Amino acid sequence: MISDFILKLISNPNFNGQPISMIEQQISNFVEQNKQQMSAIASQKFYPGLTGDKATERLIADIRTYISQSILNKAKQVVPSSLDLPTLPESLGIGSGETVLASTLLLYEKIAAHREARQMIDQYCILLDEHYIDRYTGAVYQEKGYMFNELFRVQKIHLDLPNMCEYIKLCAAITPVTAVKLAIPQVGAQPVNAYDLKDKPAQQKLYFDKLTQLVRSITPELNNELLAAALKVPLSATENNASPIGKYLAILFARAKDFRKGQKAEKGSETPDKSWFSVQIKNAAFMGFDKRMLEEFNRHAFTMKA
Amino acid sequence: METKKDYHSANNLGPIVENFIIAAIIFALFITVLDEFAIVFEFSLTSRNIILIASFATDLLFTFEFIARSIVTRRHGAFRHYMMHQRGWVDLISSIPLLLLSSGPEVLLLVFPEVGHGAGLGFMSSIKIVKAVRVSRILRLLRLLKIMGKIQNTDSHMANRHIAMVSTIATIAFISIYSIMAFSGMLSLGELESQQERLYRQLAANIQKTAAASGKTQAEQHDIAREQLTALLFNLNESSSTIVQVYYRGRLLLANYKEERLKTHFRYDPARSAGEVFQGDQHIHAIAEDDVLIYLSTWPIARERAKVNITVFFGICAVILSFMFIYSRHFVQNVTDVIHVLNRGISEDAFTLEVAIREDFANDEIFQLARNYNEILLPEKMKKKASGDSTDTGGLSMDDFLK
Repeated sequence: MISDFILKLISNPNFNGQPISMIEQQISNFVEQNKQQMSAIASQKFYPGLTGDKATERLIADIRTYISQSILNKAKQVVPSSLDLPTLPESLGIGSGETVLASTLLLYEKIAAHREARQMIDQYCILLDEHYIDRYTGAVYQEKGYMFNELFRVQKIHLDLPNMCEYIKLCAAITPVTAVKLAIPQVGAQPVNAYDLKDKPAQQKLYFDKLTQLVRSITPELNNELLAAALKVPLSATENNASPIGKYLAILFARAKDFRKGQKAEKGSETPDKSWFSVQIKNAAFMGFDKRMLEEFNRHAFTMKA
Repeated sequence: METKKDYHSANNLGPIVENFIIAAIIFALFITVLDEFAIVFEFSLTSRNIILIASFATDLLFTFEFIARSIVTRRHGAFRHYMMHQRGWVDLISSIPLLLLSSGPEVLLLVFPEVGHGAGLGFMSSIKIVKAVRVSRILRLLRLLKIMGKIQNTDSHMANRHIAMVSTIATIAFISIYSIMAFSGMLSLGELESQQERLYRQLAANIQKTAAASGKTQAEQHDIAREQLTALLFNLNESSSTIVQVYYRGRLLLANYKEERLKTHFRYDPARSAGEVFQGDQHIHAIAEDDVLIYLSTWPIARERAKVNITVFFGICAVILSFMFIYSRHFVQNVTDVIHVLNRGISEDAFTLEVAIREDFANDEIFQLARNYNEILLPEKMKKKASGDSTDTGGLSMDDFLK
């Protein structure tokens, strides 16, 4: 009964096209804003045996479980079908693609319980589903401008376009682990993730060390290079350690977070991607994005009418 | 107090009637142009009568429409709004005046030809009435405005109202100038008519004078009149003279048109007396000077006037269509679409699209506002969202949990 209700709630026309992780966020906001009424409804309608607050908590937990499972199911479907693993050259030294995929899905199983992490898994699925990496990396290779120079020369990944796309996708696949909240005694009592420590490089390093241990304990066979590349995504573009792929993926993950399926340009408006990149150019410093990359993304979005 | 929605429903005769009226307006416009072409290409009398009856029917229909709307809106206390803001005044002047001044009298003459004659030709030849009838025909073109009100070219109420307003002003200006020029004789056709009138009246007087002064018998006077007229009109035929027939003391002196043409194109009945052979025909102008009666064809002047009317009709059509399809597009793209995006961006949490700013109009106030929206409001909104301050609930309501 409760799963039917959650399904009905998620299928609400108001949520049309929104990423499921965003729907979860909005339901949480609503419940938070209407705590008293929600307690009464939850205990009367869904959990008759529980008191108001307990019933609300249970409702939220059930919604969370349902959405986690939906995101995991989606990842299991989208990720394997979107990666072209056999094409990756051995010289990259990231090992077998199948191993990376297996490690990734195993990681997802373990981290999906964390809200921010499952949001990023959802965002990764959007990046794959909507071919963001293929489309924009293709444009980067065509223009051979700033981003090409950064990826190809600065990061020194000398790959042709299809392999570069696959490599970026694999880095992106590991990135959701950086959203897992961990308790770091040196930082504070509250668990934090890499994004909470964006402006604190020293504390961020402590977090990464702990996270690496955690990941290793789950999937010891996951390639080090790939994990190191993924751990650079949350870094601010101005940090010395920031890598071109990290800056590139940071922008794309943020784009996926605001993605709306089926959203089109309104009459008189710019297209969704063009609007998003253009706004982020103004917010680049605040968001810790590379402004020049955003300007190039903006140009590509305009050309692609995306 | 009535709301806008109330005004709209107050002036609604139901979908079937409203759709029928749109069809009738299109039909009426077609008939209006056909009527003018019927004059230019000299359609037969039968064809013109059919057009006349169709015109009368549409005038009558629009008169009923106006009366019905007046009654319905008055019942809702919205009559003033209907007249001022829902083109009630267009409905008024494109219905009753036309019925009374144009198609009504013409149909009356068709059904009762003696009415015109009974008034001693004064009914139709009273110059002011004839002018009023002619000028009033142009009021039919106002129906183009009626259809403007029915067709909503864009989704924006503001754009539709604005385009309708601009089109109305342009059309009214066009028609007013034409009407003033026609009434004041500035279109020069009136002067041409007066010249013809003076010329042929003098001709009739001269014939009368010569024939009567001869002191001969009536039969001989008739022959003298014929000789004189034949000499004067030597080598002039139907195409070079507007004289249709000339009678002297009731006997035919000259006939420029063949009998068959007279029967198919004029209300001609040779069985009647000389003064009544063209009874009820608007395209015949009679000049009587004692014993001489000259019937003149007014086709050439009517044809010129019809050409002017056709030009005016297509001119107004061009103006309205330009406003509807070219200017409205420009207005929508540069005003209402921009407002639409701004409005959504301001009122909806989840709406984050930028306004597309046209660089060539970037200094327009609306695009300056849009630039501020793009560069200040939207980035702030996105910052707030990214920093987790967003309280967006996706439009959920308590009902979604109670259903």
